[in-house]
Amino acid sequence: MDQERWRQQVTWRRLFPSSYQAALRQMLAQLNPTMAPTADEVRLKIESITGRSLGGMGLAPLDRVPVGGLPAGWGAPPGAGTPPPGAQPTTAPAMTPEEKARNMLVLERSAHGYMYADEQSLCAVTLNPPTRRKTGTCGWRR
Amino acid sequence: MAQVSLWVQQDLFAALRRTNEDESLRTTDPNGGVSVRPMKRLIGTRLRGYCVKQSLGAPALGAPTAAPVAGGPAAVPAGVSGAVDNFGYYPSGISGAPTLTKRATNPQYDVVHYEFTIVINPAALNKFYYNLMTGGHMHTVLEQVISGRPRTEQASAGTGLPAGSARTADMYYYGTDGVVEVTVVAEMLLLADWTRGLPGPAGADGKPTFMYPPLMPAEFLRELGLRDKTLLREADNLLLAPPAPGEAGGSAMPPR
Repeated sequence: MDQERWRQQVTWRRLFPSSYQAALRQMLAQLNPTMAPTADEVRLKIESITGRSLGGMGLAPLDRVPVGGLPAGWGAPPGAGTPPPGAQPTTAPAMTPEEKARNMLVLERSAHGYMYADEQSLCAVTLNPPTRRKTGTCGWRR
Repeated sequence: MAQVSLWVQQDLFAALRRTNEDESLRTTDPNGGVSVRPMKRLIGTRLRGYCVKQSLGAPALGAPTAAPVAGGPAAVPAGVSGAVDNFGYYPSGISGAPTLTKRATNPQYDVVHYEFTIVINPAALNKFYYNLMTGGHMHTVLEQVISGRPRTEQASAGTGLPAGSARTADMYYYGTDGVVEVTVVAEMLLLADWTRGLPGPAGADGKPTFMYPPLMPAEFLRELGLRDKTLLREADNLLLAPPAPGEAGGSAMPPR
């Protein structure tokens, strides 16, 4: 009887982390989560844009905004936004290829799920707190 | 405690899902992504542990008093009347002032404190609290800290605290709705008959029998008893009683 009890306890403790994470992933999947892109993914996206289509042309495929910014006063009604005398001419903020790639990726990811939830940060629960490892108790020092 | 953490997350995720699927809170396209949903992001969850009352004059087993975290209970000297401790999971333990509900673990139910951080459309906050407190186990929101500007850092693994990386800024798109970051401290009640087993009539040898087997490990139950003997039920005391001389086995804990 004692051997059986010991076997069950050991088996339970060894199998619990994997079964716990499997249950958590299953619950998390019901939330239809998505994750923000990482810096590496953005870098790959930039390479895919600049390395193939953007090189030397100044325009990305399906991109209506030339790299370098819109002409000053573009889209404004005539007479509107006329700078006062002596003011420096302004230009619309230009999007770098990095910004464009990042924005595309961010939009794709935000539409991929219903909410952001990082699986790694939720699954990495401390199953064995440091104090318990140190004292052999349930986080409690005698 | 990981199992308790799983129960907390189970109820929390269910509340998040119900809020996100609420049609009255969705702005436009039902097939849209994060931008049209009220719940934007779950940053992290953290279990604080079981909440037990400090006994007067007995700061109890050398419980460390940690600095309060954001939204957590204010630190008070050990031994103050009504002060509570969280133990069992949080690595260094949290001691603090009693919560507004004045609830702590007792022979009838266990009180578990936890916290989580979300990014949400503020218009959906009340609905989310309603979903959290009416579904699953008995939850009560104790405190909330609302920050108008959501953090942009990735959450570090396990703790839900920011790892700090400016390169990940602007990687999250929440749509055109206003959003707030909310850190919520809440408590969950677990009936003792469920977690520690529903005792039945005593056996012929005087040992307790259980109509439902205890889920709480005997070691943790023993920790509760060391903390405060009044937290244990009669069946718990019988369960933890040392075996009679000559009897095989070290614990009366029935196998799962």
